[in-house]
Amino acid sequence: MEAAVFWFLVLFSAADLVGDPAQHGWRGRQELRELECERLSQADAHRRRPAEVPPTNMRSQTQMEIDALICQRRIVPFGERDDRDDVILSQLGDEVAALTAQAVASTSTSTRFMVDAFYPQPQVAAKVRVATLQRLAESGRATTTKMPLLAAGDIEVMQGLPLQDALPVACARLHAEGSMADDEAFLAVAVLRPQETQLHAGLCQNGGWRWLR
Amino acid sequence: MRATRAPMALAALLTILMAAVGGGCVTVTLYEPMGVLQRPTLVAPAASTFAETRIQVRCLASDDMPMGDAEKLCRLVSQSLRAQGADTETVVPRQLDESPPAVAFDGVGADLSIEIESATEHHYDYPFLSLVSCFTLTAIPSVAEETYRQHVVVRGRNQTVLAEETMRARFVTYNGVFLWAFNYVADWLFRDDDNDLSGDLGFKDFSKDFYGHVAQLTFNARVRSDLLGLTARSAKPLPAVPTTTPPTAPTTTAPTTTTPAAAPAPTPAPPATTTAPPTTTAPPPPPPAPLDEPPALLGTP
Repeated sequence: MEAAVFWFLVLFSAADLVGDPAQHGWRGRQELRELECERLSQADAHRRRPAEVPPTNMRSQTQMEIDALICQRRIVPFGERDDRDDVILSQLGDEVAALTAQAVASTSTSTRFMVDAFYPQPQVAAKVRVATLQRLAESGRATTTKMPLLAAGDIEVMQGLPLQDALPVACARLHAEGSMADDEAFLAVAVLRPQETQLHAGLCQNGGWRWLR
Repeated sequence: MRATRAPMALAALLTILMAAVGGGCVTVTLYEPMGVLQRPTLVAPAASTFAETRIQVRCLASDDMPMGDAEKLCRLVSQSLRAQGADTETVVPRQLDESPPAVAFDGVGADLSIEIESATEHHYDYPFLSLVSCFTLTAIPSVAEETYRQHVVVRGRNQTVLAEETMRARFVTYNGVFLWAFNYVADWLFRDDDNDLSGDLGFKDFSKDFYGHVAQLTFNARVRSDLLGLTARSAKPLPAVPTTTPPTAPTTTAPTTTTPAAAPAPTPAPPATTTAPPTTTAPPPPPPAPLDEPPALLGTP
């Protein structure tokens, strides 16, 4: 009888191991990299996966801290897209939230935003631009998909400049040529170095340029 | 005579086995990167990456990170950055709220300050399984899992936060003689080098990820510092890369204006997992400078 109880406890103890995502690791070290895991409190885990995680029990919570490890396989496996695209898209929501918060705080409520993204891959640039416009709209700001236009001669001159120098010059030229109204602001989102994995943001308003982040 | 030798040989064998098990010789550790550590890094370790950049590394001691371990972590991070051209200085404050020294680098001041706070986020070792494992001389393996967290903040000259990340890593360690032997044979027969599990490869993978991401975060902070004009004049600016994209290209799409009141229903933001058209995979960056020791929080594997 004692032995039976003992083995029951052992099996009960080991039951968690069966569903442990680490079991995928026996196929090899790279296999675990394909899993996106997050450790959550039991309450948060129940909120997200009510069918799989039971609600919190006050009595058990006082005796031990219970949490859950939630894992899912990456939809796009490693190596299927460019590393920088992968990182930028992985953190796009957070980056865009941070830069739009600064842009919103730096302008008046009547300002209408034009947004452009400068990124080597046009598909990713489009995603960054749309995400930024959407976030600004969610923040209660007016946005437009209109883009300020520069004269061909200006563009030719600026093509030879590094992006971080070209944008302030472009801002001054846009103001001089009257391409932007006083209540409009141009928000540029850019990656400036091939080795960096963050988005920078600069704001052009009334001919004045400043980097926000 | 032979009858007395056999129990002695058995006892000696058991002693060796117990020593091997107790000494952690028959463990298999699975490393599971979480969150940021799963992402690739782009900064290739080169001697000029942080050339002429003064970096102060602060490792905060805590209950999970004793002073000695914090010093070791600081030393290894510093060593990694020095290998990439940085001029480094390490500080291990005794209290979390201890302010950084007013002037580092003999009064010149640091261009960047890296602050690392480490903690053990989760630990569980299946006590009943450990008991059975002990009774069976690890024929049934014991299992322990730990999740570590490192919060890294990079500040500029004026203490502005330029970049920060929280890195998490989970380790599941199996301790069992048969499991270890089976895994050894599986490595030898079935798995390629990138997938081997024996030895301390899990810890080495973590070291590579951790130092790689610290370098990436520091590089991002350095670019931001240059852009915001925080970098000291004595520091050499990072080389600029000309862009092929014109600053403002004329658009062919019809302009539309939205106001918050008339804004269309928000479309889902492009998620991180949106399938992009397959692109040519860039060659992976060369591996970082080898660091023989894992970060101090993990101890010696």
